[in-house]
Amino acid sequence: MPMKSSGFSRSWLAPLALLLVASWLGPPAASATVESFRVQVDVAADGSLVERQQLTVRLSDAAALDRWRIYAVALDTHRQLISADAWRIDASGKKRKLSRRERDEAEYSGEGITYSSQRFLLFEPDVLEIGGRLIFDVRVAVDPYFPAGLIPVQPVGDTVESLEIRVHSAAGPLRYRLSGFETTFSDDSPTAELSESGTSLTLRGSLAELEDPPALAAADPRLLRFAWGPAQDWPAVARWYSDIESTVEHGGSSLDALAEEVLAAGPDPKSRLKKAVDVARRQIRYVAVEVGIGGYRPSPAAETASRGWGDCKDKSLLLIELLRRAGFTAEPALIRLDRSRRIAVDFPSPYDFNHLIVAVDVSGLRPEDGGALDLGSGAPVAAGWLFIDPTQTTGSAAYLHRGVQDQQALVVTGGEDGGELVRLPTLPESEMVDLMAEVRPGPDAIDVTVNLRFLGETASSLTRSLEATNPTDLESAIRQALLRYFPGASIAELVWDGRREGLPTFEVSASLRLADASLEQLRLPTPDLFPALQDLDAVEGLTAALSPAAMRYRTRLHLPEGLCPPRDRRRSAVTEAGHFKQEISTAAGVVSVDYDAVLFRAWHPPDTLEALRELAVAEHRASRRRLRFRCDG
Amino acid sequence: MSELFLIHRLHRAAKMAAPCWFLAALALASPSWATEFPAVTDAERELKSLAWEPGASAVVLYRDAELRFRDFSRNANSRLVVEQRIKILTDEGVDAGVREIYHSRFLRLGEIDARTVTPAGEEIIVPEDEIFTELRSRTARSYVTKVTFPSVTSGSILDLRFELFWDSLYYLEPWLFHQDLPVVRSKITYIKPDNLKVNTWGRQTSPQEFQIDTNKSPGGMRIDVALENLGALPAEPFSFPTVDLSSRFMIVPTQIYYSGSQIDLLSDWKNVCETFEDDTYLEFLKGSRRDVRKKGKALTAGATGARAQIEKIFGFVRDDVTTESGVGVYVAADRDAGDVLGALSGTPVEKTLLLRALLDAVKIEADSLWVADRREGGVVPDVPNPAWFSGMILETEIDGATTYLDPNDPGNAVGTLLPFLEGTIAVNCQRKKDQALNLPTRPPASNQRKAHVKLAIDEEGQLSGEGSLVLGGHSAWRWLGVFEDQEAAAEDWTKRLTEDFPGFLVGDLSVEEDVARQSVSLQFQLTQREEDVLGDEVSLGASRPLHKTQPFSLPADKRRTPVQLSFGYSDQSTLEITWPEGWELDLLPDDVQHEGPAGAYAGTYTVDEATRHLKYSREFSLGSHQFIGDEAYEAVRSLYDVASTHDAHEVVWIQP
Repeated sequence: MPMKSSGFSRSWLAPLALLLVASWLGPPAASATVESFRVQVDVAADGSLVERQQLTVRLSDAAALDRWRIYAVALDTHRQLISADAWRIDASGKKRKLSRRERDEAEYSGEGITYSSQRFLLFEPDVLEIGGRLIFDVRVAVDPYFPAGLIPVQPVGDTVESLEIRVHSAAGPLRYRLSGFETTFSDDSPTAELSESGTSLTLRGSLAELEDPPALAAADPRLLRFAWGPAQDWPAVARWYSDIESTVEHGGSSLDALAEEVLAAGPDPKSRLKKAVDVARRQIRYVAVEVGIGGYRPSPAAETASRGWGDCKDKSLLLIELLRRAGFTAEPALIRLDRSRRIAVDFPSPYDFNHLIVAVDVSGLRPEDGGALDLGSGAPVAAGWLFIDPTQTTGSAAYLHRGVQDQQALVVTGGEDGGELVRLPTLPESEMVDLMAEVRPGPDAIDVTVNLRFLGETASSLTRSLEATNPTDLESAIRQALLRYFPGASIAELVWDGRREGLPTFEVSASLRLADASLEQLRLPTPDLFPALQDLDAVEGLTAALSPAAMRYRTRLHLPEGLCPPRDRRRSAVTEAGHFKQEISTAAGVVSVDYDAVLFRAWHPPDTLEALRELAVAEHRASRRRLRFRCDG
Repeated sequence: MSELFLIHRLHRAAKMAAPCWFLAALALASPSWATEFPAVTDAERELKSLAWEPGASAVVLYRDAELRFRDFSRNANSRLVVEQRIKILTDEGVDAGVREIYHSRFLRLGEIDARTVTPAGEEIIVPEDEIFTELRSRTARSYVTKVTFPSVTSGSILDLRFELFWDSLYYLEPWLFHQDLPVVRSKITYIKPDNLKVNTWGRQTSPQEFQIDTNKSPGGMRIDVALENLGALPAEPFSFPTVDLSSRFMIVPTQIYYSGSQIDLLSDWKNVCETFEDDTYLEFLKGSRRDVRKKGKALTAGATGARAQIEKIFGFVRDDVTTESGVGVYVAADRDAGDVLGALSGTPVEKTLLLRALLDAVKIEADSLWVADRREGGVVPDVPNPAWFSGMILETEIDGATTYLDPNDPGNAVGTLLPFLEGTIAVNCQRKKDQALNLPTRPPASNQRKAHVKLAIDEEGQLSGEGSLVLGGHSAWRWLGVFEDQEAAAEDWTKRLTEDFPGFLVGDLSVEEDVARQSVSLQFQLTQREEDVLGDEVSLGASRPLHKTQPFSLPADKRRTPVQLSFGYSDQSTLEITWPEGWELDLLPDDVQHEGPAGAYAGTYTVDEATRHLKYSREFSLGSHQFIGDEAYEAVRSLYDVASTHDAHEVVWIQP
């Protein structure tokens, strides 16, 4: 809904929350026809606004009846309903206003959020018929948190025959940005017109039904972002957040107690950093409660410390205060937790952010700068800032989950110019599958010993299972993973262990036996890091969103007598997107088959997809070619 | 019987995709309201892990409930008091720190007390402002209250006590003793007034025996039922629903003596049925009888014979009346067939009753059957309880053959019985006796998938050709009515087949769906992608697109629950492939034949070197949908082992 922002309350544990809200809110992309979609936004001189949304929908088939059975209007403490009416017109043209019993109201927090002040007015017509129409007319008074707004231009993906969005501002000139049209296949982009005075914006057009995006495509919803008044830059957004945070009480006895724990960890910065992160992550559990501006304003750190729970911003503020007391410069960093969508860098506003993490100034502190803070290689450092997500429950300060990697973070450093947009690094080597297999063919069976090591997010999830799952359930999942590499194998010995500290690691060792199997039928494990070729075909012309990661597979095959080694082979593909390497060699009767695959980046714009394809083809072809052990040349 | 309408309204109150709220409420779920929680014992404080449940993140130390049935003579409501103590054992257990209680204007939430006892022994009462009540529907006045415990860490103890009130006499959900967390003790106490007669029923799914105590209490009877040391419910793939896996106990009111008269309640199926059929369904069917009759006749105009008439009416109810969400076998007291017809929208039960009314309008008799989707739990026929059932279908006769009518799935035809109803117990309330009956199961062979793929390798080593896939019975049903139109169906099947044939482009796909015959037919072209062509080597998995992977990775001695799949079925696939001169067959997998109690698998390769032609014939059959016990599990596991092993094998050609 227009102007609706979600606040910062996300946890890396619930990245789908927004999607779930979206799917609940209304009908999915479909073939019903919106005859007319009109939005009128009037921004008053004081920055408050009134938004009117009028919608006429033609119900053409049974599926459309199903989809339009509920129409939801989002409301909150800063979005108050002025009026809401709805009518249905039956197939014969008779118009009837929906009664009070056809309206309901509900609160919905969304997954991962315990409670929120967000509520919905729901229209639920008793009767709908094919050939009939629905008309909605809703007016909402909004007290925006920031002088900007966003309107989903095609909220449910249906065909829109007539679109008209008008924004009028009495609070200064308007700026706008229309997104989601450049990167979709249809050419139904509406036209925007800004008045000479710059205070009136009109968007008109008609929109074709929105097709489901390809699986790999970065999400780019059709949005009209607009803002009014003096031009805003990222420091202005940072100031906006600083102002909100400045109203939060600092200090308190429960915070003092935690700070003492941190200081007691030792005089060196590494011990203190480790302890502070440990406190924020493990002593404070993730629970999100957002009421009104509380979606953006963190709870006082002392309150978070005393109740032992908080959401991302609460945990972040607590960590910041602990780190500052331990001598660090630590600041809040607004970010988008999303693997498929990024913020609009050229349209500064807080509304694209949905998460808050911590940036610690490590410039001058690391060994390479002459300091003592050794974070090891692969730490999530960019522009001198170490980024820490206190909602993570595994890993050290030097491990950052991939939900925020390669995203832009707004580091709020305070002061007039205190806002720095920093692109977070990608850390593919910290998201790795590392496999080592020893294959020993015997007269009756092939014996295989496997050491499988997961690093990063998968390891994190498995390691957490060690403390949450019956070992047999975990064993079932591990066996399933092993059988994907060696179908039909019986698993004789199986041990596993995990480590949640440092870089999350989960290791599996297994002895497998493939009875009645021929070496020639054996497919040695090959990586599948890069996208399937058909998925790359589908995303052509669009930006692909992927998760940076790495795979390293090593197989040592003890060649039995009577068989000949396969030809040595060395292949590699190295592009800006990553690399793929395959090496097959034989020495002392042992065939070594090694694969290395790394995907460097999360975002792959259309003009770089070829680099990705090159890697995908190399990986695919390597997996297709078999090893031959016959001595017939 | 107005009480039952009330229950229906209770259920409808949870309008918005509610989980089974009664169970949810119970899941959180003591004796009479106490002023203080019992003191934490040394054993509870020192508990770090459970020897009988390794890996547990938290444990329910006790979960006690007291259910007091409504006492009309004292004008006292029914009341459930639940008291629960959870110990957090690991860092991952902190997720148990938010508990939810579902309630409404009918099931009213009374007092709540909650506290955290920290590992250091500090007691922290959950303040009121950390108990959040979320509105789920203003019209239904339905809510969920979330209790957010403070300072939850490994070693914390969480105490919760709450009470629920309702006006009805009934509580038709069993008490579930097992949870997704291990339970040290779970106990329910039923207190019933003397004027209420009840039946008790219980089922244990673990070796522990119910500890049952029956005592006289003031004005009535007190029945305590407890179980101890219960492991967490396993999360195993293809298992039975939680309600079937948990030990459970319930009390069903059978008779009440009130104002000098005896009223039968849920004493037998006949009574239960009369309540619904006579007092509810017949009222529903009577509504707007003239409109319904007119519609029935209009729909069947020109149709001759019962089958044709049934198909017309069935098609209308299935396709033109929107299916709303509904609960069980209940219908709203304020709705009738005319309303549903006017709105072209109704709950599954309302749609089924509308179908019955329309058939009746053209003098076709059909009986309503209460049916239970086995994914939601089985029926206990000895306990007459309408809450066992998930919906209603009709039973009629066409040309002397029993025919089922279920208009609530767009993929159903006249005669389709959903796979999840097959073999379950249904109740026919229109029968005067023997109301409970068993629904039949289709022969697995009739749920067939048949694939035929013809490919040729060209001089460059590129594969291309065509394929077909024909689905029948339930194998077809699962795809019928799923797609909005043929284009969407073709797009989806193209994607699926592209995944089944990695390295191939799937094109020119045509789909024919026939709901009446319950069949889906696909024709498609296959071309190996240029990037996939190696030039001197071709390898292909011959079982595609019907190849199997092993879903049962655990050996039988580790599997803890029986297996339940959707339905038994059979696959037949054939691959024919030719290759050009200069190429030779380099690797041919062995033939295989497996026959066991769970089903059969066979794969045979026939090669004609002269014509450079290979034919692979493969058959797979799964003989049942349920595999109960170690032997049955091992049988199904072996079947999939053989199938997944051999389906992974490839035929290889090379150009020397």
